[in-house]
Amino acid sequence: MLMFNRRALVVGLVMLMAAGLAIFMKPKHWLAVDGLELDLEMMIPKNFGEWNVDPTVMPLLVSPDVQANLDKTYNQTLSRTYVNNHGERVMLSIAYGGRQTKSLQVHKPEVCYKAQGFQIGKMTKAVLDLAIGEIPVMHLVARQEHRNEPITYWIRTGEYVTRGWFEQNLARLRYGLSGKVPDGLLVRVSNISLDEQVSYQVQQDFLTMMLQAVRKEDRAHLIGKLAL
Amino acid sequence: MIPQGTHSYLSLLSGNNRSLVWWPVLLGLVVLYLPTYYELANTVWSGDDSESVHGPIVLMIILWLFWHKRVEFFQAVDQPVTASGSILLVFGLMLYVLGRSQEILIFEAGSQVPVLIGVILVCRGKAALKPYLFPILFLVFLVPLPGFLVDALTTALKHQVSDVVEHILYWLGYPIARSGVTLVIGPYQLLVADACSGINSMFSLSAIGILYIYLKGKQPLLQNGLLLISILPIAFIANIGRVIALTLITYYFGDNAGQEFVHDFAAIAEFVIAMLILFLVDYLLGRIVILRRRYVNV
Repeated sequence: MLMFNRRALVVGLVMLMAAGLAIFMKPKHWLAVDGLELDLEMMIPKNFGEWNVDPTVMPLLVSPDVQANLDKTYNQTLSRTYVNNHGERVMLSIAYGGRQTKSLQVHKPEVCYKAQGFQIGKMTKAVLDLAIGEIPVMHLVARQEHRNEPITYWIRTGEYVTRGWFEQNLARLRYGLSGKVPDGLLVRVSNISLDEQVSYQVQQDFLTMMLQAVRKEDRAHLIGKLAL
Repeated sequence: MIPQGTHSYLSLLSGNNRSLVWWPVLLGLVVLYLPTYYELANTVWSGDDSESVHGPIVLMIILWLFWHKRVEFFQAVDQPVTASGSILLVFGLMLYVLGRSQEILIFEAGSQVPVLIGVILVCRGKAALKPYLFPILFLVFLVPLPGFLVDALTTALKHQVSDVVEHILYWLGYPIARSGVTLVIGPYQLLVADACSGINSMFSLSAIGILYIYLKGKQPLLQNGLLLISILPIAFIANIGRVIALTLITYYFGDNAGQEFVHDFAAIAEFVIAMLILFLVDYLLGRIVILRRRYVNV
C-alpha cells in the first residue's frame, strides 16, 4: 500500500519537472555541421610574406593513446614549422573541434603544456593589431628544463574569439543557453627563445602575414566574427 | 495491509512510519542527483589524485551522519515553512537545471544544499532541519572546485611552500638555493610539484577538522572558533614539514629514496601529524578556556 500526502506529491513532482527541464535544456543543436568543408592543410598557405614551411623539421609523432584522445577531441589538426629569411622559426598549431561540449572542448595550451610536464610561467591577455583587425590573444611562457617557449594563442568558440578558462566557458554557456553547441578552433604559435618580448613580436609579425595570406572567406574560420 | 513484522521493521528504520508518505520526495531527489553522482564517480573521483579518494570518503561520512540523526529528524515536530522553503527549493532547482544542462558541475553538485534545505523546510519545517543542517552543509566538500581556482591556488601555494622551505633549511645551515619552484640542495635538484602545494591536504583536513568540531559537540564558541581558524595554518605547516622531510631524505639518502615509497608515505604521515596537531590545539585551547573561566569565577 502506497501512502502519500499532497505536499510530498507536489514537491516530488516539481523535482521531476526540474530533472526533465535539465534534459530538455541540454544543448543539442550543433552550430557546425559535421564534415564541414574545412581543410586546414589547404586553408593555410605554405609560403607567405617572408615565411616558408621549414622542410627540415619533421612533424612530431605522439604516442597512440595521446593520438586517440586528440582524434576524439579534434576533427582536424595542423602542425607546421615555418622559417623566415632571418632564420627565425615559428611553430604553428591549429586544431579544429566541431563540438565544444565540456569534455570535447578545445584544449587550452596552459592546460595541455602542463600535462606534458611543462611549467607555465606568467599568462597575460593582450590585444594584437594584426593589420586585418585587432585580435585578443593570450601570451604565456611554457618552460621545461632548458626549453623556454613563449606562446601566443586564441581560441575561436563559435563566432567569438576567447582566451583562457573563463572566456572559453562563458562563450560555451552563451550558446548553450539557446540550445546550441558551438564549434571551436585553436590557433597557437610559439618558438623557443629566452626573450619573450622578441618572441611575441616575431609571432605577431607571423600571424599578421598569415591572416593576410588566408583567403578572405576562410578568415571567419580562424577569427570568427572579427573577420567581418 | 502491511504485515505486523514489516511494519515494525519499517518504523524501526525510519523511526516513524508516517515518514513513508514522503516517497515522492525521495524519488525526486534520486532522479535529480543519481546522474550527478554517476558523473562524479566517472570524472572527479576516478583519477588517481587524492581528490578522488577524498570525495567518496566525504560522501560516506555524510550518509552516516544522515543515518545517525534519523530518529531526531523523524520525531521532530511538523511545522512546515512553506514560503521561504519554496524560495530556497526553486532557487536550488534553477541552479540544478543550469548546472546539469550546461555541464557546470559546481552548480549541479552545489544545488544539493539549497534543494535539500528547501525540501525539508517545505515538508517538515525548522525542527526537522536542525539535525540535518550540518550534514547538508557538509555536502559543500563534495563540490569540485573549478579548475582555474585550483590552478591559481596551487601555483600560489607552491611558491609559498618553496620559499618557506628554502628559508628554513638555509637558516639551519643546509646548502640550499631556489629558483622559482625548483630547490637545489647539495648535488640534487628538486621540483616542488603541484602535489607538494598541499592544496588537497588543506581541503581534506578542513573537512575532517570541521567534522571533528561538530562531533565533539558542546564546547565554548570561542574554542570552536579558534580551532576552526587554526585548521588551514596547521595544514600549511604540516605540508611544509613534509616537503622539508622529503628534501632532507633526498639530501642524505639520494634521489631514489626521496621519490618512491617515502613520497607516498609522507603524504599519509602528513595527514596524521596534522590531525594530531589539531587535537593538541583543541586540548590546549580547552585548558586555556577552563583556566580563564576559573579566573573569572574567582
